[in-house]
Amino acid sequence: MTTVNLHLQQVKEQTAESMEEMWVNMGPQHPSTHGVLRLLIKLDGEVVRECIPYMGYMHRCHEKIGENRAYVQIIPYTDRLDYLASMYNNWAYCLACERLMGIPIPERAEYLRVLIGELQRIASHLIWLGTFGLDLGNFTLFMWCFREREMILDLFEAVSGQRLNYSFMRIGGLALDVPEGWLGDVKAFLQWFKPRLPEYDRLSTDNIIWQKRIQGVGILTPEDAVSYACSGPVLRGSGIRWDLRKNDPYGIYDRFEFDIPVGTSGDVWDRFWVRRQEMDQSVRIVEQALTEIPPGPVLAPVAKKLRAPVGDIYSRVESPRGELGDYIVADGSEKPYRYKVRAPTFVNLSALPVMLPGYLVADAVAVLGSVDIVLCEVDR
Amino acid sequence: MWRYLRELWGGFWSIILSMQITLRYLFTRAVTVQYPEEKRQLPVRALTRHVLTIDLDSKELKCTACDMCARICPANCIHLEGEGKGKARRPKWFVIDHNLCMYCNLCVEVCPFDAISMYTGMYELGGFSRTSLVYDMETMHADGFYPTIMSPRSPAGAGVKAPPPAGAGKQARKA
Repeated sequence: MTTVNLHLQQVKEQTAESMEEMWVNMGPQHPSTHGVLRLLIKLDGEVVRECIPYMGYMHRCHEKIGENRAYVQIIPYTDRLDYLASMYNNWAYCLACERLMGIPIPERAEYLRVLIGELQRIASHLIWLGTFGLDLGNFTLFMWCFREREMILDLFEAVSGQRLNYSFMRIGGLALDVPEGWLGDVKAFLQWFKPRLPEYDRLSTDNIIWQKRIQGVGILTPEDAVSYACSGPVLRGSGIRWDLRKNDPYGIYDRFEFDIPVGTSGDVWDRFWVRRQEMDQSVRIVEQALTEIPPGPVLAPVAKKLRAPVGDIYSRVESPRGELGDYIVADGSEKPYRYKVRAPTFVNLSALPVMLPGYLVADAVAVLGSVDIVLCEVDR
Repeated sequence: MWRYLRELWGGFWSIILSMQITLRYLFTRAVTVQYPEEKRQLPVRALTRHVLTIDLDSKELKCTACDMCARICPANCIHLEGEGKGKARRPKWFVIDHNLCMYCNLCVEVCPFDAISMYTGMYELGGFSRTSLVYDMETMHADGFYPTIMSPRSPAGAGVKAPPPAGAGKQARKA
């Protein structure tokens, strides 16, 4: 409460001083804040001078709940972090536990994880592209992206039985093998999806109105991006070639051929273009995984009651939004002693005060959209 | 002046290009389903309401009240009490609070007797009171065969197969 009061004080002082600059609340019920985020924006006319993001409306004590659950029981809770990329949350958590307990994962499970993970990345980027289009007034793009995302959700539903919170990965592999004919369905989806990407391009990338709206807006310099510890497309949009799939390969990512798209100037356009190209690369990875996938078991033999040895681990994966890390301290019991999630969107959102000042308030929506936040993950 | 006109024309042309490709979709079939009238066919694995499966010969519950599902449930939504000793042990009462259920399937995976299933296809669970989502043993008593994780698998080990049509549940399931 104190910080809010402080800013109310500031608001009062501001209004007393001059009428030129004023503090405006954007959110928590603003339709373009992608959830319950409150931005306190200082406006000079239409130009943003300062921006303070307020988070925490969705705080659910995820980490504290984790300390009171057995290792297996945390998996369904991790789904609820970044609900647009649940598979990655599962993956990050399971990977941390596997490294902590020294559980080897079967080959088929590794391939399926990569395959499902990249499909999830496509789905996540699709929903990002769609909602970004919605923010900028491109409603058709929104509908089309959701159409293709729905197909991926159908694939995931056939595999895990859920459409959003999959809880599909287990410590030691996957909960179940994929159903019969599912890999064929993935191939059919890719056949459908690949011609759709140029259609999105015609609707967005090639559109001059779209270009003019987002080029040169919300610039994040590489120095700022690094000093704010940004990751994922926000960092790569600033021109830094940093992708954990290449720089710190986890799983079997070192076996796949793919490029890391990077931007040049770090504006909204670059972040958009990086994500758009990542979809191409994900398609490439899925295709390679489909050809190489071996038969075999998908779950390593693990004990029903998992106990981790005393120690701690930090393990990270490259989620669609950036570096998603899980830090687990184990004290030898069935439950983690401390469980911490490094949420990429929380860190990326912290860089928003650097990106916004100097641009029009109408661009605030575009800049915020380009960060690709999921408030459930920000607040945890 | 000329630059302004050129940009104006560029924007206009972009819109025309976009409309052209949008127009094509006017003549394709809709991908949406008119939900209450039409329903999608759920995949076999769709996690929906629990049932307690029965032994198809004796029509008795397979559950032996071992408490494994209640202990692994992350949301603590399963409560039960058993009676009897050894092989005759059966649940006295068995309640699942679907207000809390997270549909994680852990209870099904952990069950050693294949006695609980979420592959039921019952997903329209809306009710007018909170108690309408608390299911007891009678509501969850299966009326026939429901697939579970341990149901027969295909030779390729590719997961759950569709149930045989005879004695299947009330809801249509996808083969």
